[in-house]
Amino acid sequence: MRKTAERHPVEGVFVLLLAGVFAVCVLLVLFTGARTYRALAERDAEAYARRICVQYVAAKVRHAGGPVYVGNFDGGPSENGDTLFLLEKDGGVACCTRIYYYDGAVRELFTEVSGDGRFRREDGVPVTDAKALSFSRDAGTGLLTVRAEDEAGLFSSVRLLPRAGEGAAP
Amino acid sequence: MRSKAPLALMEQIVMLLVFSLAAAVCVRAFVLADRVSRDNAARDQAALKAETAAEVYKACRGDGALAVEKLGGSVERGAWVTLWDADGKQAREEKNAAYRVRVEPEQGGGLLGRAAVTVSAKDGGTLFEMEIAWQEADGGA
Repeated sequence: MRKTAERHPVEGVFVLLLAGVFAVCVLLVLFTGARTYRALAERDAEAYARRICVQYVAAKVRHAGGPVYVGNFDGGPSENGDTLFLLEKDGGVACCTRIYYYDGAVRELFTEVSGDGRFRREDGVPVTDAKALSFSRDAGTGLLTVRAEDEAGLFSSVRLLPRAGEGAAP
Repeated sequence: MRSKAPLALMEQIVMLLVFSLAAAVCVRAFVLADRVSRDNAARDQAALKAETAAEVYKACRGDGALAVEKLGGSVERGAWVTLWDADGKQAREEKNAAYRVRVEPEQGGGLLGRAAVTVSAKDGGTLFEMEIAWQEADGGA
């Protein structure tokens, strides 16, 4: 009969303990990775939401081929307003693009100038989510200030000098 | 029969060592990604600040004093400097400023005025820089 070597109970416990340490380390790294990824995604989304609104308006103003003015949706031009009007000619017809905030979104409404007064705020196409958007224009320098608040309540603003100049209200 | 415990122990120790190495590389990558993400978010805002400063400076045709009147800030040794906090509002003191925007006029040539716009972070590192130019005189002049 062969004699079996006696196994020390501490060895088994130590192996088990080491396996436990390994499992904990794996979980720690996994959780750290998940937390870091979530923080990155949140920060990127926040930065995007914060800049996209003013960048969108800035791009529209820079590409505007005609006069740009600030006013209220149904009213005429003023130094401060809730709507930005971009005028242009489309096939010889005077057209106007309105950019404004309504019901949780920045909206864009492209219409013929002759059709003014027949459109409502809800007719605009939602472009991006936001909490507020306002415009103002410095009469002296012609500088246009765009101020936006994103869904998280973070403000962002940009000042622009429209190349096409300030236009008369249609 | 001999116990297999020492072998399993050795195997686990090696496994733990390899894992430690891999984990260290991973954690380093996480930290780097986090820093890049923070830098990108700061750079986004810095670009907006630079854009604003550039437009105002061009509207004022390189007149720093007029730019101060329009947007605030101060003129330091010929350069127009504005300070902004992390919330996007103008900061009065340097210690509260997350972004420092400096518009330095350069020697223009002929009809063009030129300036360099630099946005730096609190630690002094440059976040964003751009060159701007504007027409000094009327095209027909």
